[in-house]
Amino acid sequence: MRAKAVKSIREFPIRVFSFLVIKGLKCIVKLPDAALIKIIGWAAAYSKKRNHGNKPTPLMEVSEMLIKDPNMTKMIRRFLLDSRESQFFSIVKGMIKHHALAEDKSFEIYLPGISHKKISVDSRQICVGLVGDGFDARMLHKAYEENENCRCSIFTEEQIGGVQKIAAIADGLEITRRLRTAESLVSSALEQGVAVSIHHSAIESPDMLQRLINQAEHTRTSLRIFYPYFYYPPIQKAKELLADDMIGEVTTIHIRATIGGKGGSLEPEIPDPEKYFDHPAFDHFILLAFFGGAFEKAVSYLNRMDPKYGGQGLVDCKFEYPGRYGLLECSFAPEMYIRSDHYPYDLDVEIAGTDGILWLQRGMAKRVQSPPITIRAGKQYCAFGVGSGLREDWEESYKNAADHFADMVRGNCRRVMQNKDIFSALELKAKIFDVAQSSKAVNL
Amino acid sequence: MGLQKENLKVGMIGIGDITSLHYKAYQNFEHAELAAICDLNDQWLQQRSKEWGISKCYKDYKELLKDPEIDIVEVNTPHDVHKMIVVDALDAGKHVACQKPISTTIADAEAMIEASKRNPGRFRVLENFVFYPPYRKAKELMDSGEIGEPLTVRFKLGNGIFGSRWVPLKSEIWHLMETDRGMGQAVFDDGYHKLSMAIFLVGEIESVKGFIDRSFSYADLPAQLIWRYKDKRTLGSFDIALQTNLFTRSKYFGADERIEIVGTKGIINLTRCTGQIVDDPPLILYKEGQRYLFDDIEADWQASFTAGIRDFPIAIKENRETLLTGQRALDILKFAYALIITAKIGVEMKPADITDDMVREYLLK
Repeated sequence: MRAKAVKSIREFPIRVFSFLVIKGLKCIVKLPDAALIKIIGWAAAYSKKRNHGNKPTPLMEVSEMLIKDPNMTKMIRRFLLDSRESQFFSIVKGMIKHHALAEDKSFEIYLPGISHKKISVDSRQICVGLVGDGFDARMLHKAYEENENCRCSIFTEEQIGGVQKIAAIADGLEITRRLRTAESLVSSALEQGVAVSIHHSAIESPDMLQRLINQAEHTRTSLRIFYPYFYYPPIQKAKELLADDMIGEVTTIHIRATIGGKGGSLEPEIPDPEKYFDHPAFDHFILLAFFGGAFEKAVSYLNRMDPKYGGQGLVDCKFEYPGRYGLLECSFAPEMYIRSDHYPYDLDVEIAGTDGILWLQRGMAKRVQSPPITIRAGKQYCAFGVGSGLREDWEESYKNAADHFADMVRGNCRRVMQNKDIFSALELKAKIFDVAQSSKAVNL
Repeated sequence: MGLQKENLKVGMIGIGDITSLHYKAYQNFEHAELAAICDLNDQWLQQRSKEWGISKCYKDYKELLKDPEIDIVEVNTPHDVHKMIVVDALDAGKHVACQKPISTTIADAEAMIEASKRNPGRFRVLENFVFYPPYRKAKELMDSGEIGEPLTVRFKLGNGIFGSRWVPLKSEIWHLMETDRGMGQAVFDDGYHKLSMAIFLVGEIESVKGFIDRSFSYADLPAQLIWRYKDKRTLGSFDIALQTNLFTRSKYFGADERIEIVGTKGIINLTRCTGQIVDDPPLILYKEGQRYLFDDIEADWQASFTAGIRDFPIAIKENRETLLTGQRALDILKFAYALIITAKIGVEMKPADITDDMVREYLLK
């Protein structure tokens, strides 16, 4: 927090100066042609004096062009006045931060990573009722068992369905997979004041989510959508770095998810040839929205995933945020070896911004052993890995998730994503096969 | 025609910035030599003549075409005047190498292809990326099945304005202003290289979808474009980012160009071409859980020009088809327009169906 505040104070003059530069430029280009040409001429003369290279400076070139063709003033005006304000601001700020004030060399920095948060035991242990039997259920169960603040009991859908009063057996209910009776179970728990965590894959539609949110608000009980990637330290770190303006304003987000055929300690689950976005390795609409916000429209090409030969799909989207685009690339490569302590599911994220690029090359698998996060911004290269104390094991996601839920049960609700963005992700997922079938861009 | 000649003579029409890379390709080359240059700009002509040691200088390209000593004509003029010069050169009995993109209209491109059919001279449209050694190696690895069947191929482009400024601002502005003429620097002009590679690596394009934004009124980026290949399962994408302040090391343009090819068995990452943003080798092959780094491979961008330019005289001498035919150039032109139109109207386009009427209707009105 303190480092953040210091950084923010240090950057304040840059922000103010950038704002003034933009306002100044916009005022100057509004001047009549003759005055504009004159001012650029003066600036060019000044830059010529300071120019020690062989080539003319951009200002000298602009001035020369204006002398030859005074109509160029129209282009300069359009260039500066019709530009997107936030983008322009981000670029000017980045130029000052990364170039005017930066040292003229590349270097590596290591910053502190995310520490594993521990809740102080201020009351009795929280009792979590866990429903489900898949991979996430096992991982969450282990995380709760290892958490000194929690106890965890596993129930089948039928068992929990038969319980008269859920509140009598659990403080929180964790639903870890799609269930036939998920909605009624959640509804019943919320009604009894039992906090609920429901796996994102159990949310069948945006409408279902809306009903559950309404009920949570009505009963004033905590509800969370569980998506393990929210809690994975490198992803949390990436989100934090974006919020800290490390790469400027985000313009493109690319997520590549690949299911390998071997290399994991667990055999990969073969994606459904036709409906593969239910597969945990591919269901990354939420991750896309986590980084980019709500979607405005989408197009897609989806091929069938052949169990033997593999397959692929591309989801291309325009975010609501102006000038921001995303691509979710899914590939099933049955002959590919992807080293993993769990399933061989590779995740590779590239986020480009006006100042640089952030790469995240880790998830459940460890296909490559370079740092989980690397950044190139301005002239800098930064890596976040072992040197920064950043945890990269997939289990960490579940430990953090267990902490988070325990916090929620105690009434300390930390929001990790806006409702609107989650709805948008669910809507895109629900419509994705229609989007792929459509020859038109589909509005969301 | 000079087919039997030891050393083919080249006449270069249009001698702008990029041709300094062409000139280097003719140095110490046994099959062809740069013998004449032509440009409307007198000052430029004199400068190049002195710099390159070329005594034959023309202001009028028709005079150069009359020179019987010239076997090959290189056309490096702005693309909307390619047709006139290329057709005249082919009709004058010359072999013609034209700089990409072939033209701004499909009709012009077809006229050039037609002219090449009725004349003995060969015609090709130079696009240097397909000759870039790491890209050639990647193609070789793909063809030999190292990564299995390609599932996806992704092209990434981002232009940084720091790290290199090789071309004059005037030239950059000219390219930017193409956006108002239905084209655009990122997708149509610079993008041509990536679209050419997309076809070179995998094959013909069936259909396209996607989005192209407009930044600072003139720049056709960011963009996110996707396509389906014809008769193949592979899918492709082209991601163009606005990463203005990223220092991009380059002797040429500050372009961050990367390619990732995901196959059923492995992954190929190409991290360089015109510019460089990471300290990785230009080519990395991931296979069977291992990364194979190709350090010993020529990665300077000039190498792509040298190989690409030299390939044409050699192809003439060997009497073989060049890699970049007029038809390939037309396919790339239609591919580019299909991407720009799909982004403009939000409807899937098939490059094969693109016509000049569609370009006028959707992009120029």
